[in-house]
Amino acid sequence: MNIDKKGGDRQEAVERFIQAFDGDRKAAIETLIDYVKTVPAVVRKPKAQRPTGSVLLSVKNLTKTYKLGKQHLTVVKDVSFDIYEGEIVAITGASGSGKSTLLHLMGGLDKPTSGDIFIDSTNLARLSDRKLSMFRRQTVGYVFQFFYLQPFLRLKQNLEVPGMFARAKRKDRSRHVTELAEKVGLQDRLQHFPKELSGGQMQRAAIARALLNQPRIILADEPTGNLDSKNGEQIIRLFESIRDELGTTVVIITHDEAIANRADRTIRLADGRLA
Amino acid sequence: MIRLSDAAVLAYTKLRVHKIRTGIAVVIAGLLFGLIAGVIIVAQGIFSSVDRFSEEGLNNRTIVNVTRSGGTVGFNEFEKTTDKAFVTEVEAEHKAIVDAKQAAARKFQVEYAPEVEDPSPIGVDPITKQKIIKDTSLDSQAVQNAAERHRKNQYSAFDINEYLKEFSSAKVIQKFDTVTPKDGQIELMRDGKESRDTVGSGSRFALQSNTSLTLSVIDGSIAKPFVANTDFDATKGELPVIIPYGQAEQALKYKKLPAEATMDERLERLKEVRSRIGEVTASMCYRNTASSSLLAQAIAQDKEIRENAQNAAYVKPKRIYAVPEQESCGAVTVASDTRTDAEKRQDENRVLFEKEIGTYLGEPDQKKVMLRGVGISSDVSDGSGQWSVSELVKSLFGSWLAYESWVIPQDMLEAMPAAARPDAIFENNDTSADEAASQGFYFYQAYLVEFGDKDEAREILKRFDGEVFSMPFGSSALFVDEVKQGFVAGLQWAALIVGVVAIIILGSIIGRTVSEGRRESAVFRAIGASRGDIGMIYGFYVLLLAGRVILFTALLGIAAALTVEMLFWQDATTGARLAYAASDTNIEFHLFDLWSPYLLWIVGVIIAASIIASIIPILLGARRNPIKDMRNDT
Repeated sequence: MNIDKKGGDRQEAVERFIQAFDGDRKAAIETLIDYVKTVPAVVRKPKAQRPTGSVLLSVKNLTKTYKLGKQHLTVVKDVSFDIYEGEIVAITGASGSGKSTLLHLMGGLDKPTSGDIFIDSTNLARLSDRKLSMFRRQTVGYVFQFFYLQPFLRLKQNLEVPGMFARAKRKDRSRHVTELAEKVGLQDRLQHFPKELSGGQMQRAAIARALLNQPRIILADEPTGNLDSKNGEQIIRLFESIRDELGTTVVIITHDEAIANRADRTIRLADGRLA
Repeated sequence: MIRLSDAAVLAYTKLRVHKIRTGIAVVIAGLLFGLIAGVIIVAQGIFSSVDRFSEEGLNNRTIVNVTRSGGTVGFNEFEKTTDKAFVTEVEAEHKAIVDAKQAAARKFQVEYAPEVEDPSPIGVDPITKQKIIKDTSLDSQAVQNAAERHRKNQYSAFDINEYLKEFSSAKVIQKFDTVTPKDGQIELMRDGKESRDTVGSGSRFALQSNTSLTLSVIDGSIAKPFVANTDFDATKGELPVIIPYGQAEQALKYKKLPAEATMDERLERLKEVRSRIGEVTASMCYRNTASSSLLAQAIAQDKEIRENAQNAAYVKPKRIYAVPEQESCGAVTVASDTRTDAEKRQDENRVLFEKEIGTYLGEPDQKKVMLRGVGISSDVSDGSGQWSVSELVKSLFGSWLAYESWVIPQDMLEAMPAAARPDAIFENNDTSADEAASQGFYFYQAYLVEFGDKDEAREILKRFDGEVFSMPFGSSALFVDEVKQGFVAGLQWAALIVGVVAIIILGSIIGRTVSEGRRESAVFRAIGASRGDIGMIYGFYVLLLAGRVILFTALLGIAAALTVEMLFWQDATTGARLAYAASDTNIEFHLFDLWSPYLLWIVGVIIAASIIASIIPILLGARRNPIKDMRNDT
């Protein structure tokens, strides 16, 4: 299925609905229903086709409290769930529901107030700062809403940055970057600076950067939040291909229900708790 | 930990992010350090040039003039005119002189009128009614005899070696005196002529020299750097002399260069004077006291006769002297003598009388001595009174022999054949006690002492016990050394102050860069950077920043120093060649030298200032919570 084509169909369906709405409303609604019926068949995989694997990351009774002056604000409250290898998981919830905090805790960027986060048999909550850095380097790939590419580095160097921190061999680093650029469709843009790229290209570059150290899990914080629907769709497709081809687990924080629906599983948070 | 090359790549991006801010910080810090670097380069140039020129002059030697003053060992009769004991002593002395002279006068049948020839030096104070010595009689024989006795009694020998015993590196080069004949005087014959001015009256006529000459004999090793005429022929009987530059220029009939003369003209003149110094000749006339007195008498007689040429009543003296030619420095001869036998006998008796009472001056002795230029010494000033780099270099770093004095190199004097050497001038065998007694209150004994250890020289220069004092001689070696030490001390202060200012400037920019780079650091942390990696990136950023400051400092310092060099090197070269009496007339005084250890020192200060300035911002930055920084950014 061609995503662009699909986008064109949706447009056509909406236009037909609007045109018909003033006349035969029943027919108009039926048109829309027909269209909507087609969508899940295109974007959602049947459960049976989802990758199934062992537990990659296990969150147990996780709580995170911040101290704001004299007040204590608990943003994640006693949350427990498992993330499996090779699945795409969406974490959704309203603003302030604790999504990003949960993501940072899972990525070892922050430490929980209580509870545990196991990856294999290692509890991230007990790791030193140095070991957490190593964990982030080797196991996690981060993707941010605002891309965070280095403006004065060419794309090739930008993609190499995680490899620099991992002390990867320059030759291997370079080869891997070329492969990843090809995978995300930026092989012709490697000598460009970020400002010469579109938003979608920058996010694809950020995903390629996250993949450089071959992480087991990608943590994406609102990866499409700064993109139009067309580029957002491309990013989701990219995550799906990463999952399918590399078996990498992807955790996406999103407000967008459509994207959440594309995930294999959705974890909803409300007021810091699982909803 | 991230590789150094990768850390450098990431650090470099930070310099590119804040180009204007970085540029301003680099320029300000670079200006401050550049100024110091410029001063260092110029100072190193000067010190190197001084070292180079020192091999020409005396600046590689530390020589001190140690002088014992007569101030405390002398006896000052001027302060004793009311001293009862001294007045009594002088009165008795006067009586003894008069008694002896009266006895001798009777013996040799000569006229002696004590009230005219030896009036009493004793008077009465109109207020106290006490006996005093009359001010007008202080140079009388009675007063001088009494005073000399006191001086001899008070005199204690000055043992220079004893004085120097605690200075292990000190070595006495010579006793340092101006040349004074034992009896009489020497006079420079200006334009080859002897002075004819006389002072005094009656029997006290004396020649007054209009062209007094200060001559010194100095150790050959000290004089050597100033000798330019290596063709000097010692067998000709001419005295070798080193002459101050200005006087040598004048003697060679050069018209003094105007103040606006170019450096090339000045250097050319210096070369000419040096090369022609062997053409400079002068004559000096030595007369012992008897010869001077007789010449003064002859001149006065000649004048008297000429003034009375039209006076019919004037009776010429019976013995008429012939005044020698002014150019000859010759003996006074008798032109005509019409004295009777009795008058001649009376005059002979007068001589016997003077011998009896000890006032006989002896036989007249005189000698014309030729001087030959063998070198030039530095003038203290060119006399223009104008400030110039040339004058500054001369006054600060110059070598000199003696203030406006003519100097005879001892080795060249000794090379003269004995017969040609004017020993009467140099053979002053007075004992120190005799000298002290005859020279009176202002009696000095000076020695030239060389020090191997400059600290010891400095120590002796500080010492003054009221009797012995010391001063640098011949060179500014100690001064140059002090200047070097002062320069280093000044440099340390300047570097400290500029370093503090640089810390504030660089600290501000580094602080802002770290602060504004928090989000970036947080992202790096998220994608695997450790705190150490972040620290290393900022460390490299600081070094790159310091590198830019160093580069700018170097460019600015070199540019400033080159400007000074271009503007002043010729002027300085002229001054130095004059100051050091350089025999190598091609040697140049430069004010530019990059090979200074202090330049590395400045590099160190810049790096240290940068590191100090970065410690707090980097430590605070590394401790921050990346989550918070990422959240604040969005």
